[in-house]
Amino acid sequence: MWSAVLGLPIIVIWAIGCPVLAFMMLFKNRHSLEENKVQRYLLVLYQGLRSEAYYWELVNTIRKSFIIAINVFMSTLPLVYAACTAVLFLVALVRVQVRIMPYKSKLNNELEIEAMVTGTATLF
Amino acid sequence: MSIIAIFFIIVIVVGIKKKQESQQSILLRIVANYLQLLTAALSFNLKFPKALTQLMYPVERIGNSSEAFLSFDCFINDYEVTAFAPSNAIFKIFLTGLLPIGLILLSLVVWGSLKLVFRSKFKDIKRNMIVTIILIMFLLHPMLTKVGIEIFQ
Repeated sequence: MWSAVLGLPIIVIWAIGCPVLAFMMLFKNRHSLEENKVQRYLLVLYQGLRSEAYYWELVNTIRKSFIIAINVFMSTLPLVYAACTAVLFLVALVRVQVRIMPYKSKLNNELEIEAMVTGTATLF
Repeated sequence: MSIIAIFFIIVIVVGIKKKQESQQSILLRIVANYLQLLTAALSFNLKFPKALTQLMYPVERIGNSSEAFLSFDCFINDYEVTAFAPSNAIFKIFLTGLLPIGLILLSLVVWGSLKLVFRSKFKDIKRNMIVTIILIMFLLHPMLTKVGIEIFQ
């Protein structure tokens, strides 16, 4: 009962609600991201990103949440399964990132890709 | 705790100060994402070499900001607050769920006081508040996700 009373609100409001709300705000303003009015409040969510990849922070949030979820939900299985699933998921996302190149600057793209590869290598 | 608080304050202050795109903010976001991912990776119960876990200890503290601002364990033990929760663990989760609200209220108080002292424009304070809330949620999100999911384990 306590898991429903405490866990569900935390997941629905904080874990899912906040990123979805942030994404919806960006999606609503996706054609006016360069305008001062939008930049004033929402720039922290998409600065440095190409206008077509304004949603990339949501992908980063999903990446972290998924790793945490794999760790918790696969804890009954042998650890190697959880670690392999996490590695596969991270590698797939790195491949997507290499294809999309979400940042405007080449250096930032390389830096984040290398950061993610390091995270993956730690698990490997 | 202090290292986490300093990191949080740096991220928030840089986020507020930079009204145009800035490389500092972008780098801080990439670093925060990296630390959070690394912490999630290290929380797997793998047999990491001791040297690695020792080296990564500060990283874990920053990336996983659970019990970062308040040591809930000490608080619960000291005050023996068990009045409306069946166990300390449940009460701790309840407090963690309220942590973002507490931090947002705290930032409201700080920005409100600054407005009174420096007589800043309401528009500026509103912007600072919104940016602070976004950054608090960004930094606390992995910890809240972990606590929320773990309770179903």
